[in-house]
Amino acid sequence: MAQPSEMLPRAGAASAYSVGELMISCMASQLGDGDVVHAGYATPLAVLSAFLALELHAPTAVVLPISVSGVRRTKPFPLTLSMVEAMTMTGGLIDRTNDIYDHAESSEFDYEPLSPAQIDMFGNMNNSVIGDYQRPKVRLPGGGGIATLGSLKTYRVSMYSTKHSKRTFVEAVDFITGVGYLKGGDSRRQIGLPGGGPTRIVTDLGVLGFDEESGRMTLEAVHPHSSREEIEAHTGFELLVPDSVDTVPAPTVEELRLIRGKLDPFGLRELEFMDTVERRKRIIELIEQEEEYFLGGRAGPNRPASG
Amino acid sequence: MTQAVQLLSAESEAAKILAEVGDGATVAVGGYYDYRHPMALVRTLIASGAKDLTLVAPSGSIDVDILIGAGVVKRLIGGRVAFGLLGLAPNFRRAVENGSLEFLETDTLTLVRGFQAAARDVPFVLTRTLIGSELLRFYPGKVVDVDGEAFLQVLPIRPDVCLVHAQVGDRLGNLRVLSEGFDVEMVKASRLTIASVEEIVSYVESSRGITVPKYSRDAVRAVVEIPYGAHPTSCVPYYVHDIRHLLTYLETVEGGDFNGYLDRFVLQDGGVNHFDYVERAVGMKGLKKLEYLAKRGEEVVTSGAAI
Repeated sequence: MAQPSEMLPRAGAASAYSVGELMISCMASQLGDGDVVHAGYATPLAVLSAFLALELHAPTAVVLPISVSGVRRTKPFPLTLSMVEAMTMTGGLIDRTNDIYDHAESSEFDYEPLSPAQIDMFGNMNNSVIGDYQRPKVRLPGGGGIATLGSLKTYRVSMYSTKHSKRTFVEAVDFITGVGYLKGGDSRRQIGLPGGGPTRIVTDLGVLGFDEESGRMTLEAVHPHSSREEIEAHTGFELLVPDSVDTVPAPTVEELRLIRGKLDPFGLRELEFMDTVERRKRIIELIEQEEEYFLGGRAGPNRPASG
Repeated sequence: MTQAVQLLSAESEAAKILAEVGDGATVAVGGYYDYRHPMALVRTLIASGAKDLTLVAPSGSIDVDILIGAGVVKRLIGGRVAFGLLGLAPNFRRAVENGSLEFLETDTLTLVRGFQAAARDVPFVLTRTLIGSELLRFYPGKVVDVDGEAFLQVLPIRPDVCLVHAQVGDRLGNLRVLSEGFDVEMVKASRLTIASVEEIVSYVESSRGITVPKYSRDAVRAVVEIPYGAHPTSCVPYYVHDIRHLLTYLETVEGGDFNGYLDRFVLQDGGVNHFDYVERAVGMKGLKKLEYLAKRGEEVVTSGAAI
């Protein structure tokens, strides 16, 4: 698995790109050939990064764009809001949800990028509540896959966050929905979890990892537009920072061509950076565009109308 | 114990069966994300006046939220309730925040293993899920140590009634499901299943999708033909989910007018009529769009054409 810190600056690096595009490129670089990548609910960046890896350096990876649909895919498709399920179900290999879970429980090649509401210094994840569990200030969606994956033996849990802030990166999560390295050290092993644990977190500012011994979060690399200081200022606890920190390589021209032209022509990659009000407005525009393009024979985002 | 499978042709027949769901029963609802929830049956269940139900739903959206809003749910056993990129589930959120809903929060894999324990009639199955998660505090199964590794004893979940919407069914009670989610395990675990289907055929065969055969040990399985019975969620390859209607629901409920939504779309003239609902909620033109999008999604993937 290529790690950002091991990469050389790439020839053909693009000069103008969005943070979303950079995150997709960076998350794709974490995937290895032959990996099995699961994506969950409302996570366009997770699907797009898996599809990008499939197009480039991981041609034999298997992608489950909707993990529990029961379908394994070896070919990407253009991401839409209306048709992601219909497309997932076409030309893939229909498996059973149950069998997908069997594999996830025992395989070291399975991988899922999660995006929980809170993450703490030991990589514990909260997607249950803000505030007190019994009388929460905000009731969040719930355990879903997060409470499953944190406890598995070999499953590689990675995370991403489109808003690196002290609200997301907190010293202690309000509630541990999915376990990371618990209290650090060998505390995970002590409760009977000999393997597993989170690997890496890609944010809009950089890349975080975990110290093997202490289980504490480390700074691995910064994005070209950010800095060590900015990341520290937006993290709610002390990060372990090595003497020299790498810079994440900019996405290449080829990656951007694939993301913009083939994988995400409608621009769903920007949705995860918006608040609910702005996002809903954009979603309405997007479904109108999708209907016009797919039903009305109108011009696509990348192609003029023919004849 | 084999009983005759009832072949029914109208939602009024479904209403007759659902009227027998006693107060306090445990009801499982199929589908996942915004996909393939048995919405016509859910609306019928609300109209039946059932109350104090224990609802089992691994991955709910409008199905769970509308049942909670209608006041029929006392307790929810689930993994996640949300509307994906559209936002949080408003009735679910409010009911947990104000303490009026009892929520046994778990994760999807634990629920699937619970269904399997019921289907196999064993007292528990072992998983690694929830170990280290604070959700373990509320889960009734024990944790056991096997050579230094912790496992959770997942207890059987046996719903009294299971509601699913499948693509195809037949008079023997066989079903075929595409885009599986958790439905197959849920049906096998339940005492009684009521399935609405897009189409009743003379005999279900294993073509595209997962077949859910009717076994002799199953309790009654009733199959009701309700075209568009999953609206506003999807039933691919027939139609995609109706994002506009889901947004209408969210904005109506967030605006404090859940009862207005119920009056307009669920309890019409004191009863429920599926085709009246379809006309009011989406109309012929809207339905055709959702159908074409499902077809076009398949065509785009099959042809591999660039957008």
